Amino acid sequence: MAQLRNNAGAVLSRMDQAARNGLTAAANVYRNAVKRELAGGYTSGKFVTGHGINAVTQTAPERESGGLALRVGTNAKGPNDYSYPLGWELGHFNIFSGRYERVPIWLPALTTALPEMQAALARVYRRTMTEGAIPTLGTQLEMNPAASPEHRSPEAR
Amino acid sequence: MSTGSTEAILAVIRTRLLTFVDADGATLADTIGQRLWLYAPPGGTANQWPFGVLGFLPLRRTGAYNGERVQGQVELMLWSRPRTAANAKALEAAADRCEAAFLRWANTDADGLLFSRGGTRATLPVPAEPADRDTYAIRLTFDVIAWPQYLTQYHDR
Repeated sequence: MAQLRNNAGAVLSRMDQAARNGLTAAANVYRNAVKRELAGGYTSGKFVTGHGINAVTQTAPERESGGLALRVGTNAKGPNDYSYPLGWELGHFNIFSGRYERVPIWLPALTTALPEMQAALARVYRRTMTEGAIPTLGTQLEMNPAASPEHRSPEAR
Repeated sequence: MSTGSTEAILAVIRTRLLTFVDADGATLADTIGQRLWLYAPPGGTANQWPFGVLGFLPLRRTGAYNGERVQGQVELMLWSRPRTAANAKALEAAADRCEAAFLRWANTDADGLLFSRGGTRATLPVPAEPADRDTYAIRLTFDVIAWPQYLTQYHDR
C-alpha cells in the first residue's frame, strides 16, 4: 500500500505562527516607544498620572483581508467617552490654557520606531521558523508492502 | 509657484484649496476666507472662525527614484465654532470642496511635478475637557507625490 504525504500543512502552520510572533514583537517595540514619549506628559509634565501610559494597549494578531493585522491604540477616555489622546494628537482648543494645543506623539513615535519594528519582526520571524524541529516542505511517498494483502507471505495470509 | 522647498509646496497646495471652484461656483475661501494657516493657527484666533490648518505628515523618499521622489500626506484640519448644525453643515460642505479640489489633481505648472490621488476624511468626535466642546472639526488627508525642485536640481550631481 502506498501513501503520498505532503508536509505543506506543517510548514504553513509554522509560517503563520512566525508571522504572529513577529507582528507581536514589532507591536511591542512601538508600544514601548509610545509609552516612553507619554511618560513626560503633553505639556509641563506636572499632570502626569500614569493613566495614559497604562491605557496603551494592543490586540492579538487577527486575520483580515488575506493577511494578519494587529492594532496598537489607547483605552484612555474622558467624559462622554472622549479620547483625550486623540485631542492632543490632532489638536484641540484647551479650555485651561486658552489656546490651540497640539502635541503629536503616536505618529512621530511610529516614524521613529519603524526601522526597529521591522528588524524585530524579521528577527522573531526567523527565530520561530528555525527553532525546534523544523518542518520541511516536501512530498513523501511511503510504501508499506506488508499492509497490502497481495504482498503478505503465505503464512500471514 | 515653485517646489523649491516644502513650504513652497504647501503654498501651492494652499492656493489650490482656497481657489478651487466647485460645480456650484463656491470656493473654500467663501467659507474660511484666507484663514488657512500653515502648521498652526496664530494666537488670538477668537472670533475668527471657521479656519483651516495645513501641514505635512511624515514624508519619505525611496531609493527607487534615486531619492528625488517625495511621497507623503498633507493634513488639513477644518475648524468651526460654535458647534451648531448650521456650522457643521457649512464645514462639511467646505470639506467636500477640498476633496473635489484634489480629485485627480496634478500641478505641472510648478518647477517640479506635484500630484495627488487618494486621501481620508473624518469628522472628529465631540470634544470634552480639557478640549473646548463647542468646536467642530474635520480632518482630511491627501496623499501627495512630488518631484520637488529642491531635490531634482541636484539630479546631475
